[in-house]
Amino acid sequence: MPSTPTAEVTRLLNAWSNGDRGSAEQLAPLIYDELHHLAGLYLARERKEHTLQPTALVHEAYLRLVDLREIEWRDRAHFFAIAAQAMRRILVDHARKHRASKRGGSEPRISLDQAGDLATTRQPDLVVLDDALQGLTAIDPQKASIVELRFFGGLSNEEVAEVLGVSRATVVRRWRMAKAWLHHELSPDEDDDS
Amino acid sequence: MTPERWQQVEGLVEAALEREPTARTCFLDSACDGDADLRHEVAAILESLDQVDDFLETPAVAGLRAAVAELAAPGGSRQETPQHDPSWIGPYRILRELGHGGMGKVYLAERADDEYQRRVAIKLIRPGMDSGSVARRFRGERQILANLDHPNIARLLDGGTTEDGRPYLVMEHVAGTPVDEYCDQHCLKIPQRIELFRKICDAVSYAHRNLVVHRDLKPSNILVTVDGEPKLLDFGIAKLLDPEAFAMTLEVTRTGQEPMTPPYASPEQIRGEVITTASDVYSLGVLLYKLLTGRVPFRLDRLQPQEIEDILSREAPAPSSAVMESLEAPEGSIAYLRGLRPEQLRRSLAGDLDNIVLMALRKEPARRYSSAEQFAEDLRRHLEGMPVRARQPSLRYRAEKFLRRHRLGVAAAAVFLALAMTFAGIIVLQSSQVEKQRDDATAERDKARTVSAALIDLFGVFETSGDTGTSSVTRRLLDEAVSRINLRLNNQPEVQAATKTAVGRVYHQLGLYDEATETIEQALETQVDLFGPNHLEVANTLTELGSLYSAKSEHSKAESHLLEAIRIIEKLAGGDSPKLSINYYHLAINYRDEGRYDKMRSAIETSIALARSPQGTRAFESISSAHMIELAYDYGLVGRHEEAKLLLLRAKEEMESSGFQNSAEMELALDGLAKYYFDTGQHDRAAEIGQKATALAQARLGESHPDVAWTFNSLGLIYYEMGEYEQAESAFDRAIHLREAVSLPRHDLAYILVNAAHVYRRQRRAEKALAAYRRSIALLQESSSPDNLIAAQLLADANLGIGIIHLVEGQDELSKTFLRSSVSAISPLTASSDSLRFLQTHAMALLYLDEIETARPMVERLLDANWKRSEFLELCRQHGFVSDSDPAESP
Repeated sequence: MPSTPTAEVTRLLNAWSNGDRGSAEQLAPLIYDELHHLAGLYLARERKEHTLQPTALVHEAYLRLVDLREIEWRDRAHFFAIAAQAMRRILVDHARKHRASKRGGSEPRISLDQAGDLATTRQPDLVVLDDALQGLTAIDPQKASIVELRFFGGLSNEEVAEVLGVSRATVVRRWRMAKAWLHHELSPDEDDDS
Repeated sequence: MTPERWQQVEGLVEAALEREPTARTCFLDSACDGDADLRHEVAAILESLDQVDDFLETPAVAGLRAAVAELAAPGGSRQETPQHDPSWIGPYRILRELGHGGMGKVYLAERADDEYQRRVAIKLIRPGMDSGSVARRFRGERQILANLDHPNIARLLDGGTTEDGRPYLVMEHVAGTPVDEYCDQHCLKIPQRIELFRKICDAVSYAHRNLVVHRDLKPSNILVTVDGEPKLLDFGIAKLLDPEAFAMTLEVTRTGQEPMTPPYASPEQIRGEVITTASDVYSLGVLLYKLLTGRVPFRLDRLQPQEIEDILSREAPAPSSAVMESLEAPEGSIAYLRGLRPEQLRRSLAGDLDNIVLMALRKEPARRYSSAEQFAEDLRRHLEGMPVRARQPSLRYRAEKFLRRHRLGVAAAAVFLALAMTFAGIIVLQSSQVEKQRDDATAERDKARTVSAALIDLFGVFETSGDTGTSSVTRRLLDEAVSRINLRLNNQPEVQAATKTAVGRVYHQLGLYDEATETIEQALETQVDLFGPNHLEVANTLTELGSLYSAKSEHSKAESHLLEAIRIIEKLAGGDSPKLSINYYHLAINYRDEGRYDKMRSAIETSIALARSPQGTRAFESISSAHMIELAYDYGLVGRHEEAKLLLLRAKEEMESSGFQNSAEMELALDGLAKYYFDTGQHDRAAEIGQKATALAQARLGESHPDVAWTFNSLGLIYYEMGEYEQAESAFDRAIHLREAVSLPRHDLAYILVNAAHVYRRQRRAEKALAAYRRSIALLQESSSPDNLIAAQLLADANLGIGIIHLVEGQDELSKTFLRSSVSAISPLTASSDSLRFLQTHAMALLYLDEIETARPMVERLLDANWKRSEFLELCRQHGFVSDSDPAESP
């Protein structure tokens, strides 16, 4: 009999915290599936104007997938890290597909004017943001992780601190710096570097 | 940009931030040392920093819904085809879109080749929806509407299929205003509104006579023209009641694409049951409610399960009370729109109109008006001052309702029924041995039936007199039961013990702890005599006693009883018996109340594991909510507030959807939610929910039940944080009063006393505060076991409070003595537990002792965990841990 997802996820998380880095790759699809499944449940349950929060999805996925008796508290952090990655993938893939179908291939990729709007509105174009975030990963991976966890995973500062093993104050400071970098990156700048 | 370059930029940005804005330019000029690019990048990041306050702060919500929808769609992603508004549909030229709904769009159009210009409304089915069943439904609609000819129903003029195969309907275009807006715009008085409403009833009734149910009556489907004539639109989901169409109806219903508008939808509609004309009567009732009171009986803005549940089970508030309670609009404006003052409006609704509307809104279709015509007729009688058909529900009806609503009452009744059946059963047993006594047995059974019928009436009486909870009647009934058990079951010790345990449980629920203890202890004694100590019956009784002692705050007794029950069950039923789960659950609560959080956590987790075991599935259903609440409590203690909140919301949702919205667990969940809002500094929300929990507890348990004290205590703490000391004081007073009534006040009373003392202290009523602190210390010293960590914390809190008072009075030495006692009481706790509450006491005592450096790591941990208690933060500000301008940050 195949083991239940809960047992499997719990086992993989334990393996990971015991140093088996490969288990993360096996974990990701399980978590992705659960988020997918939960998303469906949410949608079926709340049909209209329910403010669907990634925070709720990720936490609920956690509670459903992890056997609380078998897990160390710090393994939760690993779970959240993967879940945030999965959320990012779900959201960005969707945004990319959506844009492709809207654009029909003829529109320019994105104009500088639009980019300027993106930087100032609260919800930027996820595709543009994702690209910029990859740029940040290249020069400062931890800050990029903070963005992923906070923005895509919906985690609080405390939780991010737990995931990254730094203090909350550090998270607050670096989060702000990461936002400034992205904001700058997304702003139209007449003589910006490439 | 390279990582090194970025590091350099970031370093300079941080260095610049430490300087005054005016000095930055100078600093950067020298620090960049002629590197213009670097200088430029640093300046850009600095500039961006000022603009990112809101940037990315809202998690990626936008797009999530869409992404989720796409993921959840069967077959994964689905490409959406762009929709263009057609310029022609058949011979009609499209002018503009009028609106759209689930089935498609509605256009304003005109017939170009018409000899006379006539504007029409065209309903065009949405592409992608034209699956067989929807198209069939659409065609059905055409049939139905073509047959309806009534001045107050929009006419169907034509219908057809577009070139690409999409069916459409052409309807009379009605220029008008939704009926509720119309009434308000014209300030129609109540009788005028009723007259208008009666015309709507006539139209609906006409449709019903033609075997058509509207199924979606709501203001936006009922327009009033400039002539003041109502017109019913959109029989879009109407179906023939014609039996021949019944098969089709069923099929269409199964598609799950049922359009309906929940606030106006009847309970049976929401449940997906058979729809009859009675459903329209219900929707009409909601409409009349809206026209009279300006609101709908049940709000449904968020489509929460609770709201749906309300429609299904809760009685609608009477319109006359609704106009007074109405929160969203100033009540005055609602009355003035009806040409009345608020009190006049209330009076004109009370009585007949209340009864009429509530009759239309009854949950059971068969108990509503049997037709829209009858509904209209009753309104006519009301307008003419004649007696109306609608009446208040009968006493019998309400008695039954009461039994359904009050689990406590039901529990008591259940005991009686059980008793009655037992007597009857025993007699049957005896009489089977003695043939000729059989007639007596029948008589006894009849008596049992009489007894249960009498009980139903009895509970009906409680309700009419507004008497709930620890009513003297209930008590007398229980006392009577005990004496009968003693008398009549003396030669049946086994049955006697079981019934005593059952009665004891009801005493326990009523908060009559002493009576409960006595009765259950007697049962235990009997059982041990009968079966010996190792028996499952004995274990069951031990469980009851354990939870009872826990409620009485006799924690070590509770623990030993529960552990004994666990030992017996493990031995006799195995280590994975689901019966163990409830024992570990009570054990967890008992540890929680002693502050032994590590033990609590492991007990609750064991309990969950047992409940989840294959044999335990059912047990898990029933206690999973309670588990979630307890886990949430645990999370809250160590600062995991978001997880706690999520668990509580889930627990709440589960209870609401499973009909436990008035249960003890629901109070716990609300209490927990209040704590969450409290812990995260959202005091107004906390107070609101705290009040709800208190009201629920009072309604469920009765006002004088000792357990109601805990909701008052929570409420008091919230007011205390808000600085509303008078309200806090009265809440604590209530709590103290309730707990003092429990025969042996222990550290539970001390807990509330310490809280009250804090309030007096903040109000600078030093004498009163000191008296309360001292009384709580005395209680703690006489009653607590060394294992009770909460008692230790209270001792520390009380000493801290006294220390602060003396410090304020300038008696420094005296103050230090108490502060040191506080530290020595709390130190072992902070060393062994990660509860933030313990930590706060410790940190505050140290700060008052001026041992700043020892306190520092504790303070930082509390601040890091977003600990928001006002008095603590105040102290931190005084010591410079938090700056005055520092906005209490929240994620």
